[in-house]
Amino acid sequence: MTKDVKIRDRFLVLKGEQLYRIVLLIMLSPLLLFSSDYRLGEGIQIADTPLYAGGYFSLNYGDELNGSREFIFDDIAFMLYAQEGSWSFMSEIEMNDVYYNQFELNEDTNSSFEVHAERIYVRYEASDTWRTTLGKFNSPIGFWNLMPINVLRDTTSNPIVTGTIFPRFTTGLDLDLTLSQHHKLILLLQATPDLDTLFHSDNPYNSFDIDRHIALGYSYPFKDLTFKVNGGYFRERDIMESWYYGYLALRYEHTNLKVMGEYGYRQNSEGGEVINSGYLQGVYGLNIRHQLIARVEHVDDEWLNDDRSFWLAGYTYRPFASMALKAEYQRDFSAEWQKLLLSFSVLF
Amino acid sequence: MAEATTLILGTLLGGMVMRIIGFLLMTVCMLQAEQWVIIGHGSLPNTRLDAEHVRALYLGKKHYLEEQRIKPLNLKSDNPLRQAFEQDILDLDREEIHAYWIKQHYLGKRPPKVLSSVETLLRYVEQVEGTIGYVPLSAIGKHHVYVWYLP
Repeated sequence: MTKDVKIRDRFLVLKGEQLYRIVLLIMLSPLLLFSSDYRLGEGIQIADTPLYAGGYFSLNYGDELNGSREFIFDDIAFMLYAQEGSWSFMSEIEMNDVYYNQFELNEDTNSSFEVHAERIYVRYEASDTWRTTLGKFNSPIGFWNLMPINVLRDTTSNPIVTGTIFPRFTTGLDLDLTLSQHHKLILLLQATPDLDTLFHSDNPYNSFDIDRHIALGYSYPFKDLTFKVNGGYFRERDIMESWYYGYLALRYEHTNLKVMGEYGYRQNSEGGEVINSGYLQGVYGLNIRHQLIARVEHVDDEWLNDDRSFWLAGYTYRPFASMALKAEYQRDFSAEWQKLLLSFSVLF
Repeated sequence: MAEATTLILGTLLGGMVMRIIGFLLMTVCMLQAEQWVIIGHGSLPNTRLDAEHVRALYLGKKHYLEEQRIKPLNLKSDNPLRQAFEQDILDLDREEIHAYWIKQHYLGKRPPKVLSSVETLLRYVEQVEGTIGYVPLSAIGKHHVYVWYLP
């Protein structure tokens, strides 16, 4: 047996083991259903402590129709959190792109069991007026980024603007101030590398590898309408490139209809490269189980030389509130590109 | 044969009678459940609440009244009093409330603590600082609690 064959065989065995682990993880999580006090999607209390555990996973299938097809075990995450009086704690670790298989044009298979720190923070709410969060958390910018996991968001795909304008996570301080019923302010400060660099120094889990982030936000909720505006500065750690950004978000919710739009603008500190992107989306709930979604998006990225608009139509079925089966069809307005996305996601 | 027929008919009729009694009892309970009030521990600020504030407290959107942190309490989900409260104040049905708390689970927030009966809830509110709950007005009796909200 040649050395190459041995390596190949070993690789196949490893691949088998990894697939086995994936299947096992998927199979084990719904078993929580059978715990006496457990309801899927509500987490489980650890003994009589204030600690609760839960998590989520997502399986995605993408087909470019006239191009390649891919199957992704997108993520599996575990959460542990607690609340006691004014203090609360949240930790979330995630394995991202656990298994990836691309078929046809460029046959490619990857699997990764790297564990990343997605959220780890302590929160103190001294009153309903102000709240302080310290650690790594979802940057409270726009609406999409606050509820970003597949099972809870409206579509399998994320609008481009939500991952290209600001860092999805901030490691540092978040100060939320409620001035009145209709006026809220947010201050974000980061002066260290991402918390995940403690475990993955080269590859922290974030949309940008940053070591500085300063941002201000203002939110105006009024009846069915909420308006948000954010502006900030961040610095990418390795290349030391600095960026300024502005972000607008609007959400209208009334009975079965939700309309949401977000627009962001980012420019480097030398005034050179500019990226702007936005989307407008409507979600109509036929009832609590069935939703129809339509979205238009535009991106103009000078750095990637990407200037295009596309639309999306989707359907989501939720057999339970904590489980989603989604289908969406995306198409470029110039009709050069199209994609079908299917996903199955669960919060447990 | 006649005995068997009588037995079957008797069983069927008995079942129907039981169902009618059950339905009537449930209706009485529902009617009684409508006369609920929000009670709070004696140490809570002496302030009357409006429905919007009660809703915000029960959905975890607000946690305080003046300086006092509030701990809302629920009855079991099949309790008619809870159903009346959720319909009147939260304006959400069971599934909508479940979907709401699933999102909050991702954010690390928990729904109000659940107690098994009105009597347990009354005793709990009497003893634990910062707690509030809904009970039938007639059940308060000699319990040392403060009526916070009257719909």
